[in-house]
Amino acid sequence: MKLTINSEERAFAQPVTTVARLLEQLGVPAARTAVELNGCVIEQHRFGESELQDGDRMEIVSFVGGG
Amino acid sequence: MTTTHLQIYINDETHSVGAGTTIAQVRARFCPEATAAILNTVPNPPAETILRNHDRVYLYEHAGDFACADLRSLILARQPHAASEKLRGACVGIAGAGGLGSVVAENLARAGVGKLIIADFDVIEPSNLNRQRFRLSQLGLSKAEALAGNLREYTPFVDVAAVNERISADNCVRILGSCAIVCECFDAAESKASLVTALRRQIPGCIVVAASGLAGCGPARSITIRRVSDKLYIVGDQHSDSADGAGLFAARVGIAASMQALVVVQLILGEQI
Repeated sequence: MKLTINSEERAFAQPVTTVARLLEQLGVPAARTAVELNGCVIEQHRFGESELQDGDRMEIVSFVGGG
Repeated sequence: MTTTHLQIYINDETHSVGAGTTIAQVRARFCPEATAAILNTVPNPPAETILRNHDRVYLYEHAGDFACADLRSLILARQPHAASEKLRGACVGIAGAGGLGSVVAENLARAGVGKLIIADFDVIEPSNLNRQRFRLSQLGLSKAEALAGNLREYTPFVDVAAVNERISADNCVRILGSCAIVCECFDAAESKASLVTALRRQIPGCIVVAASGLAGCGPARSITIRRVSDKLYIVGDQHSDSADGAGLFAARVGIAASMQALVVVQLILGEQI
């Protein structure tokens, strides 16, 4: 399965089914993350039900603290 | 022999002068008491400088009694007039009035952004003062209201609205819905992520300029601007987390905040980011 994540093409040996699974696999804490899937912003409580397809384009912004 | 006349602006008023007129002649004729001059954003032009068509001159006394109406043009005399006019028409939201928000707000007010909406639920405490632009005398005050008060002392012609509320997905449209651009200036990572998501979903036309990764004393050059889309920019090094104990310093937080403000100015002026 291929996904374009932050403009970089990534290949996954096993299909990654949802946004939540992908973040888990990448080690990105969901509560601190904003996601755009094919240009559409996904609410955090919908990460678990947002299904991924081969060829999807994603932008993942994982925030850190400080301000 | 025909005399060509030029149209120039003196303290924002249109005047017609003959070709070959110098700064010194304009000063003598229109404002002899002036002790300072700014010509097309450049201060202290040589007296013999010959004016050109559409030149913009500000003449004033250093210790003059400035009426509020004149203050906007005099304060903004070092910025190109066309840029200041575009900035005057903009409304920008600032979510969080802390280390980032207090610097973003000051930069945008001094640039003459027409309207600023500043939202924060918090009050000023001593540990804020290492980086947040408040004074000892403001301890215990609402951050949004204290910041709005400070800005009115710098640039009274900027319309500043202070909202003493915690911004969330439930109220962001009501509070920030009129803003073309919103700066995310929160402290906690979770709040940053949920506000950016809420703004992008609920106010789709609004451009969000967020910050992430500004803790510690790392190099300034590691703070960059990530363009996620045409509606979302992230300023920071993306990884320096205040939760790791590196601390927050005014200089580095201020660099990130000034870069957020610069992105806002560039967006309003249509400049390359």
